[in-house]
Amino acid sequence: MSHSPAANSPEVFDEVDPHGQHHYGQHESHVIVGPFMLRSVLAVLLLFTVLTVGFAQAEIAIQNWFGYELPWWVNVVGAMSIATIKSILVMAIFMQLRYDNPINTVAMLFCFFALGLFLLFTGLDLFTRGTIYDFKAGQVVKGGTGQGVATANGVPIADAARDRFKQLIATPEVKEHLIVTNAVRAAAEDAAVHGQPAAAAALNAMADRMMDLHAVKVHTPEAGQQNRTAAEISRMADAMRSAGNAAGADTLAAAAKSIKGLNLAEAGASYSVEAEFARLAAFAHGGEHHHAPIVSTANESRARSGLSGALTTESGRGTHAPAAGH
Amino acid sequence: MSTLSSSSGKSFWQRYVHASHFRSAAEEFDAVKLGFWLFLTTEVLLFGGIFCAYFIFRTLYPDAWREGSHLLDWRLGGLNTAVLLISSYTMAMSIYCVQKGYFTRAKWNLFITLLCGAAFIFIKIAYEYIPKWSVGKRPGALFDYPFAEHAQLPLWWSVYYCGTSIHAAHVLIGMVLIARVLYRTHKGYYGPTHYTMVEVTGLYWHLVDLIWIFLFPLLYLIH
Repeated sequence: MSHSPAANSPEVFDEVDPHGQHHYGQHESHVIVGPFMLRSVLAVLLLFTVLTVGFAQAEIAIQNWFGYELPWWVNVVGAMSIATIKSILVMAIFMQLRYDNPINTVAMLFCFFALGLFLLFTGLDLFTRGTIYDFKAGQVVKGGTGQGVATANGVPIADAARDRFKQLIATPEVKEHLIVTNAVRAAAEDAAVHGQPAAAAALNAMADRMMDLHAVKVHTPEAGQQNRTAAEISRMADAMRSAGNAAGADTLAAAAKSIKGLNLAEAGASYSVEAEFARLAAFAHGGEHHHAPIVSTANESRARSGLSGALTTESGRGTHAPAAGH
Repeated sequence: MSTLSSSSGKSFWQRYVHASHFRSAAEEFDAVKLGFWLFLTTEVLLFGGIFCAYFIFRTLYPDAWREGSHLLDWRLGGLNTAVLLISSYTMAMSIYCVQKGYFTRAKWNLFITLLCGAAFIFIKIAYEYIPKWSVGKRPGALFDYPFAEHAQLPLWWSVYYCGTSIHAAHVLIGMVLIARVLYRTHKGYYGPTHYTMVEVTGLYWHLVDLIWIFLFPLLYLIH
């Protein structure tokens, strides 16, 4: 409390101030948290942010390099412990709970207690469904439907999205776009084999751009991709020539010529929607995962830790629909 | 409340008199703060619902959650964490400066806090929401991403968008409050003997930071 006992004067009864706490001054009795303290806390908070990211990355590195998978809870407990320490620092110093009227801390602690209770009872329900007697178990849908969100036709929405995309890449315009993209990629590999790294890098960047989901899905390609791509590679060749790399420019010019002379009908005959989908999926995942993909064993970890069968199936429905295209 | 202009030439904060039903300005300050902390508990419980949904669905569909977490870039999340932490520091500094009467420094700190808030929102929308939404990484029935490996990936995006957009809304509200405090500091409303609104706005801003401290590892780091 900010009340100053020194200001008490019990001799005179003041009905406006019956407890004798005349702190008529304004805020001067409040603690002022200084710059040094604030800067130190900021430094510690930033350090802990680096730590928590490092912790998560280290776990992935251990898995990739040593093939050892840490138990699933290590990651959770580590990240949550650091977050808790950070939040205590923010509340105690930045939000000044440490210097404040303790009733504010009590209010917040009670709130966290209520939140904990909320999560505890949720957890009790989730983690103990396996112990429900068989004859009662039917009343509880274990682990939801296991199908995810469904469309109006009852098709899981993830499957519907995949099917729509496969229809999209079967349309003539997108098909042309992807055939040309693959030709650019092939030209890039060719350039690399023939010792033209600059030309290979330029062509690979171009193929990456054309394979990007934005290029295929959002900017649905138009017809005439073949000529546009050939023209763009020609321009890249000119730029490389004026930059002084004549050999690289020649390689690019040859690539432009081969793209221009590409027989679309012939290439289209061997075009497979499934193969193209798999190629794009691998590319999308390679571009999105900023670390090597790791084998998902979270379900198995949970099975070992006792959070088992009850969550996985009822009448044979799995926790997830089989994924296609991988 | 009295008007700003005064014959005595004093600033508003120097002439500020606490409401008549309080014994002193200090008591008023304590009461306002307690009221605000009670409001903050309801905010924690609001996000508590989202954290609980995260907990349930992560438990039920760990593989979908793992896939979803891999579709987020921890570098963007980490950058936004640093931006918010720095803004929390400048907010706390602005309170210190108002308490000490360093008004120019206080205004600079408030301005930097505002800039950090804007940077957070910009990173969130330009580098996360728009690129993800446009390729079909959307919540629930709006989902249209062709490369989902797990049927529950739409559910992950529901929790992601729900949690981060309600948080972003709090950042925007906090920015409005900070802009107001900045304007009123400039006008001489706040000073060493009266800074209740500066501190309360700071509490709101720190809560926004506090929520992100938990959202960041839950969404971006735990896999």
